[in-house]
Amino acid sequence: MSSNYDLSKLSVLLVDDNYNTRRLLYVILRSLGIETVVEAVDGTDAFARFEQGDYDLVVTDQVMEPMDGLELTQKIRRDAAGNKRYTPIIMVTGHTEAERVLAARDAGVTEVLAKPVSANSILQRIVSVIENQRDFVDAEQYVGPDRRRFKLTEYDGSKRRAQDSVGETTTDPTEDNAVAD
Amino acid sequence: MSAKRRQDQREELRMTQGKQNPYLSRPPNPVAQKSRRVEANDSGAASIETAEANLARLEDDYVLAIERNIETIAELVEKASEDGADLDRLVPRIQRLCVDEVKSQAGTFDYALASVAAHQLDRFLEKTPLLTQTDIRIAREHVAFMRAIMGRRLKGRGGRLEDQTLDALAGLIAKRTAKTDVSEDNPE
Repeated sequence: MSSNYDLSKLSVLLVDDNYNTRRLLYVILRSLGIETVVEAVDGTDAFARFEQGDYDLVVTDQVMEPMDGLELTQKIRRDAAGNKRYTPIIMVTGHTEAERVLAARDAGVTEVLAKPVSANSILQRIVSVIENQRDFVDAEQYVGPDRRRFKLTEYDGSKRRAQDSVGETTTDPTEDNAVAD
Repeated sequence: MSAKRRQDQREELRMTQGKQNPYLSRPPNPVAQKSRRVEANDSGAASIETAEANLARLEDDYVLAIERNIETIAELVEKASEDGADLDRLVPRIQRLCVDEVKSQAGTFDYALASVAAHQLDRFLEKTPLLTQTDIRIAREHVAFMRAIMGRRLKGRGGRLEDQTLDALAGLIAKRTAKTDVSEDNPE
């Protein structure tokens, strides 16, 4: 993955209730050339700034009070005005248990990054946001980037959807590459 | 119907469905729009070396902060060992210090062993929140290890002794959590 990008024009909203961690992330982001990095001390502060400002990227911690990163993400995805809902969100978390990562994914984050972070890991996530954009899903149960990261273009089986026609799901057993259901 | 024709028909249906799918869109990507692809030696290229050099300037401050936080964890563990301790308040504080302060920050500055020990202690407390003297002992051992690593300013994964110590700590946890699994009703 290429990392030769000029990021100077980006405007980033950095959210973490821990001063020491926020300072580290701020130094990394500014050192990577990002000229505008605005800090917020928790989810509530972040959403207020987000609504008033114009940010290209949100980098947020997961566990915060009173509003945590999951709630902030869902609020951005569902309540933010216009195209702001689509703003890429990188969640930086010290908790890497599967259920926490899945919760972040299901809240609608774009990327998850585990702590401890490094300049390289932050940069790689930003590059991933640039180079690996996914479709955006806007449905009642979920709003956010398509959670399917891999598209199996060679998949030849049934999609098992209620609206599938009969012809879509059955196979001709006389064909050489028939697939058993 | 030939296999190729079926595949073509599926692809046509997939493209049609994709275009008509009201739940999917491809919104603008401001990060991509505002980022500029440059040569590696371009003065505007995002530089990991610059970021690491700037982080290195902060290291001394952060090491002192990490050591202070380890001492705070130690104090909270001792408070938790007292009769009538408010574990509901103390244990989450210890966990947050482990994860947000020691694990995260020690790891960023390559004090990997301290980071791993803090993570391990946090995971242990998630399952077994300092209910018994064995739990307290395990927590104390983790604190002692973190203190030793930071006191020696030992970066990276260390050597055989450090590996053995971490393995021993993990072994204590495994033994304790096995006991918890077998006999939930009989704490020591």
